[in-house]
Amino acid sequence: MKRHYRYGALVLFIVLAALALAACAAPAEEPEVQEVEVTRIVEGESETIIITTTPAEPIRLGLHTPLTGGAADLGDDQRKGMTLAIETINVSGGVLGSQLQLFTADNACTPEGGTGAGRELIELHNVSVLLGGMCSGATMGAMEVMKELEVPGVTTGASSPAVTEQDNIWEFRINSHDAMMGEAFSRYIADNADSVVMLVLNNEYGRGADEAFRSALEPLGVEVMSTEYFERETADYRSILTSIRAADPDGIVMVGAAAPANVFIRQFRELDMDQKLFTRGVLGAEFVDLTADDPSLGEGMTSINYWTFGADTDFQEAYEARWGEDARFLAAVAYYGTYVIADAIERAGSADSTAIRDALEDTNMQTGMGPVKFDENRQAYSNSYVTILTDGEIKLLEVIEQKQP
Amino acid sequence: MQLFIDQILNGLTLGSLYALVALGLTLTFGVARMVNFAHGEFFMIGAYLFWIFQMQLKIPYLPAAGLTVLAMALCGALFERAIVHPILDRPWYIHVVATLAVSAALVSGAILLFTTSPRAAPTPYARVIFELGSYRISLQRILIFGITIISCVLLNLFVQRTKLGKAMRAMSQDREVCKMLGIDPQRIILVTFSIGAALAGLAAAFVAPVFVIMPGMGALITLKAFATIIVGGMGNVRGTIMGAYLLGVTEALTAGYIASEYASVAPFVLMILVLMFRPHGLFGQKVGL
Repeated sequence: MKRHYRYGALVLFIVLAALALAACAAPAEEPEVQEVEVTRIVEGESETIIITTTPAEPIRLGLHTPLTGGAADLGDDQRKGMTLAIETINVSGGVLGSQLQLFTADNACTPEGGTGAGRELIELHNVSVLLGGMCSGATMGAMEVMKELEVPGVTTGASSPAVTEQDNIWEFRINSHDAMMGEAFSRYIADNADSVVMLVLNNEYGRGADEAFRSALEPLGVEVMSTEYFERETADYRSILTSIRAADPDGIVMVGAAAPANVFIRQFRELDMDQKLFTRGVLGAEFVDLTADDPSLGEGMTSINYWTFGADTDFQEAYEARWGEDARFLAAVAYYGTYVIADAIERAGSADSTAIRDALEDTNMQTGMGPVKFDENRQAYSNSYVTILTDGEIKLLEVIEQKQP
Repeated sequence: MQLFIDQILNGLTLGSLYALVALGLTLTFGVARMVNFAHGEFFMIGAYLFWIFQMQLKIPYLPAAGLTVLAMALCGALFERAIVHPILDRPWYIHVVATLAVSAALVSGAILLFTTSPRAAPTPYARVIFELGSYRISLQRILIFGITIISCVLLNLFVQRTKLGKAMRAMSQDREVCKMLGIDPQRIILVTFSIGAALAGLAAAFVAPVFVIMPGMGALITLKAFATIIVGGMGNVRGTIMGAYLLGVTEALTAGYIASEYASVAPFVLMILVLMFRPHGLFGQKVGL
């Protein structure tokens, strides 16, 4: 009998707790006029103003990006870029008279994490559209959920060509993928090296880029001697570098991120190697910060990316005013992606997911990373930027305007 | 042949890194019979403390390393009092859940405190390069190698020769008999966790300068430290050192002669093979703590 009381008390407690949570989560029945303090950026200057609003139902946007694990720093860049865009749009009155509301979920940069984050955002937070991705595997994990639940997503960052080859009508990508960048960068590599070794991150992104760069380099007569793989948490590159030194290629094409590249470059210099370094996803403000103790570490390193510091000074100033740091490429692409979504919602005339998806198909807008107009695979042809690190500063070598075939 | 020798030397430097992280882990298991899943996060906290001392407070390298070790010894003592002490006599799965919870809380705490941005804490020693024939190695890596050997020797001397060390060995064999003989288990376990965390701090102070400091930095290296102590024999200091070098060399040779994509898997394959043929580890039965 005592046991039954205990179970009864437990069930009662759970029910009461659930009711309390539901009460906390439930929206207010009557929209009230309220004063909101907001920060806006005018000509690069930040100022705080009070605005009076009668809130309509907010439009819910979901960001799935890594917030834990080895790529969490990059996910945080995405959150900051998207937050800045949403705040700026909301200060200007929002979209269709509604404020944009951001929900974030951690995809841990893994396919299963992407699926979980997509489901959390759509089923739990009831978002109208998803943004983010960043990691190709996580993006493809979330795409399955988007297709199943019929919610569109704008990918900002993931660069494996496979993302837009899934025949998934709910997925749109605004940044160039690695086959596009590989083709453009290969011309530059071929002018500077006859042979290279690929050194890529051991995930969907690295493997996709490896395949894309190989198929672009080999027709140009550049011998790809081998492909070596590393993990984000790899502490020791010396074994790989010893093998590369024995093979003696003219260059190394590294596809990765700033944090592992910081560990790599120190060991590359330690071994006194002289291969030319061509990189993807490495060179940015973060790499410069990490190697600030010796700016010569990355001297001469070249890179291709879908955005670079210097490409959009207005955004850079707003970002610096909001977050107190230099903008990085994944923040920039998330910022533009938010504007692409806002534009689609505006044209759709509602926050209905299907209407937004249809409107996204007709997107034709100019962003700080070039034009965004989707092809039949829902891939945009925005710019790519070739940069070089000299004297501790990233300098722009070439802006490549991608052409829709 | 030169390539082979270079890869063996690479394996030994890598093994030193694993050994330094694994030493504290094996010590706490050996004495307290508790697998501490938060040990990797001790390493991470140690790295952040080292970063604060060296990069923020501008304390020179070796004093900053010393402060890190002391601060981590204190953290270890706090961990023992707050977490280990209340659950020590509970079943093993309580230990697993509690230490995993601490691990998750420490990672989340580090994200909140330090953000997810990676930090670098380089030392001037990383730029001092020695050449041994065609083999080049930085002074920082030689320091890691040296400190691993010194730590191992000192730890062995401590557990073999000192009264406290002998009490720790006795504890690892039979806690109940120790109580009857007047050894205070609580004090021994407090000291053990303090030394274990100090060793994680030592590893952080020497390894962080060649690595990158992030909230998740402890994950992979700790998994390999677990593989190390399983290969060497859990709770066995000398076995841990041998296991670490074996794993390091296996990983380097896999990267050099088989394929780099299998390099991170190689230590775990070795671990599975050892578990299949010698479940107590390669040195588990021959050498006691």
